[in-house]
Amino acid sequence: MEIDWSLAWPAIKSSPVFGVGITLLCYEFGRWLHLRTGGFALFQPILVSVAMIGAFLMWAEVPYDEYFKQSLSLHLFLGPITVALAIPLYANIKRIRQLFGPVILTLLVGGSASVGSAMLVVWLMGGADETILSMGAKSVTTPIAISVTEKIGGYPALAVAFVIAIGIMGVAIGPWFLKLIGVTEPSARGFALGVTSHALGTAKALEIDEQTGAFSALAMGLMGIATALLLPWMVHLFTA
Amino acid sequence: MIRGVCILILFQLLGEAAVSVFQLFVPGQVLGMVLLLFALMIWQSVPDFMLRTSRNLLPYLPMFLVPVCVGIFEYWDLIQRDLAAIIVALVVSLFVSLAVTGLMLNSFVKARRA
Repeated sequence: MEIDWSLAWPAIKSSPVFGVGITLLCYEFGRWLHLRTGGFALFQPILVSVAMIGAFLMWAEVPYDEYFKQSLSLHLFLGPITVALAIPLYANIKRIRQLFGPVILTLLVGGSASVGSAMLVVWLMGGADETILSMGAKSVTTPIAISVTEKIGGYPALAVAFVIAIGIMGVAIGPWFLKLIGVTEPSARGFALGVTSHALGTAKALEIDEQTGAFSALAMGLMGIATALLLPWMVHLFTA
Repeated sequence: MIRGVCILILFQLLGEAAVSVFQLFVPGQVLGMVLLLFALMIWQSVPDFMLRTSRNLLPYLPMFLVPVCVGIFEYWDLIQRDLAAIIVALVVSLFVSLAVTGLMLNSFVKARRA
């Protein structure tokens, strides 16, 4: 029998476990790199693994849809993990109830500043209307971002790209910047990370400690709800 | 671990059902988180197996976001059109959002303590 070695690589590339495999491998490499460099901010495991996988897919000529199908099992787990955020939230429920008024006020002011500044800059720099509208939902988790952007007339795909970008930037720069400007309370640090960088910020906050993580999860949930409820209404107000 | 994951999936499904039935605007998993929080508040403690599950799973949250994040390369053509404006907008809003939110809640917390 003639052995054809060229069959090996396509078989590996198209295997249903291949996507999961490279995701785990690249993420683990990212964690190793992060530890080895003493926690260097730019070497976030998520940033490193996304860049590596992106470069690899391009090199191996694997379309993104194919990779996403192969790593769907990992993606599906996001649901139960999001639900699990209720546990750090419950552990800090006393503190959250004490601060409920300030938290809501901060959410409204901080969230508006976050969304407003992004849309204003694109408008000032002459960006397309669709780009401005797609900026609106940049600080919420992807499923909310997609539905809100559809509703207000932006491009959902573009909004998702912004969501990911602001998430990764917040993880890389957030903790350092908050320290620099003197935000020392764990609740305030967590809340700022959650309002700015949704689930990615929350993941980072959980690494810091449980209270930071709880307030970040709270901010993520509230910011999602506030954006879903208020953004379509505010856009309507401005464009009418 | 498995028992805990079952409970998490159960609450996500409850959330998804409620979103569908009441035509809500939030994802099922976010509502599932809220429902589990209410359940824990009624139960008044976290069962040990739930605590173990969350401690084992939550540190890996970022890894589960990787498949979606890799999709950013798909939108390159759209991004390119307004590249400069997009970069400036994201950077400005990143700092504005962190500073306003962080400083505001920080001062509330400190004022309350004083």
